Amino acid sequence: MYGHSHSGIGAIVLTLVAGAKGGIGYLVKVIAHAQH
Amino acid sequence: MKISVLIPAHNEADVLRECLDAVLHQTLPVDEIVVVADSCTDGTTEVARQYGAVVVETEQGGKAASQDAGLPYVTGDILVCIDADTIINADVVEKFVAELENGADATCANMLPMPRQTGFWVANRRYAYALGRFWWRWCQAQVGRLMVLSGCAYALRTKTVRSIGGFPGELITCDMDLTWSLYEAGYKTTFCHNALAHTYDPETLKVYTRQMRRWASGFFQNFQRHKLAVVKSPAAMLVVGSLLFDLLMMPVTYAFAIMWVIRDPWTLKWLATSIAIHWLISFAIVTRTITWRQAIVGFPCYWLANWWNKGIYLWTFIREWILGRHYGSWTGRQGKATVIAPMSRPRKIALIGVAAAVALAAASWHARAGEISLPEAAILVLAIAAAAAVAVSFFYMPRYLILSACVCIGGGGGLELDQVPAVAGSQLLWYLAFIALTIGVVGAALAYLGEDAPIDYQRGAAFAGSAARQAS
Repeated sequence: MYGHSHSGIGAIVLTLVAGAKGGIGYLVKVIAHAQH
Repeated sequence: MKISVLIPAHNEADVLRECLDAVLHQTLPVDEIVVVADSCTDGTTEVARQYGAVVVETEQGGKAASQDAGLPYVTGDILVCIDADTIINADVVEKFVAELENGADATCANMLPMPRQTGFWVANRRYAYALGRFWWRWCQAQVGRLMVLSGCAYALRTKTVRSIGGFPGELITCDMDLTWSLYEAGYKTTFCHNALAHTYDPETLKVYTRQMRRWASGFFQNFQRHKLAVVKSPAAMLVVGSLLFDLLMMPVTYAFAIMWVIRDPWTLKWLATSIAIHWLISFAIVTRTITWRQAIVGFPCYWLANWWNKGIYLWTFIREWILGRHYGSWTGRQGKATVIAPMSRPRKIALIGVAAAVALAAASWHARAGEISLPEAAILVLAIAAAAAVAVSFFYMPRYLILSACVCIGGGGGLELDQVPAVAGSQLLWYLAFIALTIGVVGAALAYLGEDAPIDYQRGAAFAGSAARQAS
């Protein structure tokens, strides 16, 4: 709980949101790179 | 751009040498090292001087207060803060600087136990840190709310920490307080997962438990101190709020799980499946940082220790927030005793009031069905006695008295108008019960909202320091 590990429904939600944000960020980067 | 390193130390001559060796062998050289020797009675100051560090001798009795004492001596633009029992990899300072130049206001390293350390608790930590590096802390960084800048190795601009008034030292986990204070001031933190720092982790159950209790207490103290900022920030609610939600839901979840297993033992297959999935995913992640052997040994230790951690956190939640008994000692590696503040009088009164109200509610619920039984009558008498004690105690707390009296008079007036559920046929008893209920609830709310703040923030550092000194 000091930030090194989470567990439970909240942890799943955090993973999904962070994954989505990271994924979208990565896609934006790739698209921006491709356009240049 | 000048880089300074600030190292607070308390009797750490035995480990400071290797810490300074690592600092002096960075790929990006540092310009200045400031060592704050806090109440040192060993050779800490001599070791620091041998390495050419600026030595500040002080008697602060706490990490953040020591860092604050060293801050005026820092002349660099970038400040790297390292614990004296930590060894940073050769490229850590370079990675920190790159991260700060890239737009971060503060950043931190990922920690790992010292390679030579072994044992159950260390194997658990090694696994947890390795998992956090590419999962949990990565997730926190993605949503923009790192739970804590690892106190053992982090960096920020010197002007940043000065702008928030220095290192906050009132709470028992000052690194978390600093991190959350930076968020409140609008600063951005990042997680520099490629910067690795090795630190001494607890090797025995006793020391591990002491550290976990301090960390858990610090979490709840920080939550209470920064609660408004946490509630206002969606990222904070996602990271911190979800963590608290998971913790509080845990007993309910496991109670249901145990009930299902008792009814149908085959339900255990789902537990086995979930452990297997957890093992597979986490194994794939941790082996990016630690060896296969360390991962195989580490998982069962991590899985079992997690139960212990959750138990500690759950009890700490009750102790810090419900009982209002606050952890106030800095234990560290020196094995100092734990100091926990006694429950305050307003808190005791509030809890007695709530207990009385619950007892009364139970008694009156049963009384509706018919004649009240002897045990229920006894509970009722006790509850009324508690209510009377609360009322008497208000002679010393006029603010409570006034507020509660207003609610009681208003509520009592309402009771006169409508159907009143009689307890043992007496409306007067119900009226007294209502007073107990009101006082309990109002008292609890006031106690929580700040009548007895966890620690006197104005003199918090002195409190923590004196508590630690008393314990040593």
